[in-house]
Amino acid sequence: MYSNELVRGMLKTIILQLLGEKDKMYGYELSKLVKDRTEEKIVLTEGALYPLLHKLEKDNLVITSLETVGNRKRKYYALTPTGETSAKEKRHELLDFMKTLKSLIDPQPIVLCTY
Amino acid sequence: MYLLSQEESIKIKNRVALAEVHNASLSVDLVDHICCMIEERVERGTKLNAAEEEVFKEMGEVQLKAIDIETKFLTQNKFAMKKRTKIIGIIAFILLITGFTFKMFHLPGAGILWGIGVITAAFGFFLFSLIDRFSYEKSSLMKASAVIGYIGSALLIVGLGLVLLRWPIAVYLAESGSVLLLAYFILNNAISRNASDSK
Repeated sequence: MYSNELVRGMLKTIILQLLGEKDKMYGYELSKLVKDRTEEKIVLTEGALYPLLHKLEKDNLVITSLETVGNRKRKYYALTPTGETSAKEKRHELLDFMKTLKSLIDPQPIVLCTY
Repeated sequence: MYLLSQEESIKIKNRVALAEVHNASLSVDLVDHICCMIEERVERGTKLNAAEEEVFKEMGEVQLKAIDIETKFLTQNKFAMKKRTKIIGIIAFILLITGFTFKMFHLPGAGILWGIGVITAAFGFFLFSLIDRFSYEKSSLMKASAVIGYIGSALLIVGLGLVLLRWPIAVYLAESGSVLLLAYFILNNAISRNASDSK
């Protein structure tokens, strides 16, 4: 499992990205999806997930809808149009960051051209 | 797929409420999350009561409360809070400057202006600064030390302010404020050292 420090900065991007894959998702579904897809290398704890989801809701990046499942209420989260734009931007930023990081820690040897 | 009964769901809801989760919207999320965790365990063969205890042991009531505090911290309009504190600070500063100027020119009302300025600074600006800074602090020891620090600074400011008005009680207020501030610094230092040691 990766350290919290490493994951913390990418949580928003991860959540926005996953919400973009489906019409709507609920908290447990999100955490389970991350856990399964990353083979438990990244774990979204409740302490990190819900405060961030509420912050995204406040920032108008996600909207919520309540549904009754069995005998309890379940809150579903879905991206707003602003959230969709933000998700795309964040994805692009993260991919670019990964590329930069790779060039930083694993630099390509400089090939000198001789004529 | 196993689903918890209504009674079981209500039981979980009550346990979440007991953990002092005040945000109703967050409570819906947490109750559903906990129920899902329990249902998953039951499906894997764990007995219902054992599954419930396992989940609450894993999450812990302290953690539930911490999630509530963290959510409040992230969703609070910090800009409005800082703006409020800033406005009170500016009012206190203007009152103090005007009071001091009046005092220098021996104009009437100097004492009142100065006194109100001191009180606004001590019980307005410093109090709200403290609330802004420490209302989301999870450690109760840190909160206690902040309150000691606040009382100390308020007494010191009021004391020093009243010295100018030659109030006999002023020196005692300033002295007791200084002692409390000293206690605050010692306590704060000890907490910080303890925290870094435990890391």
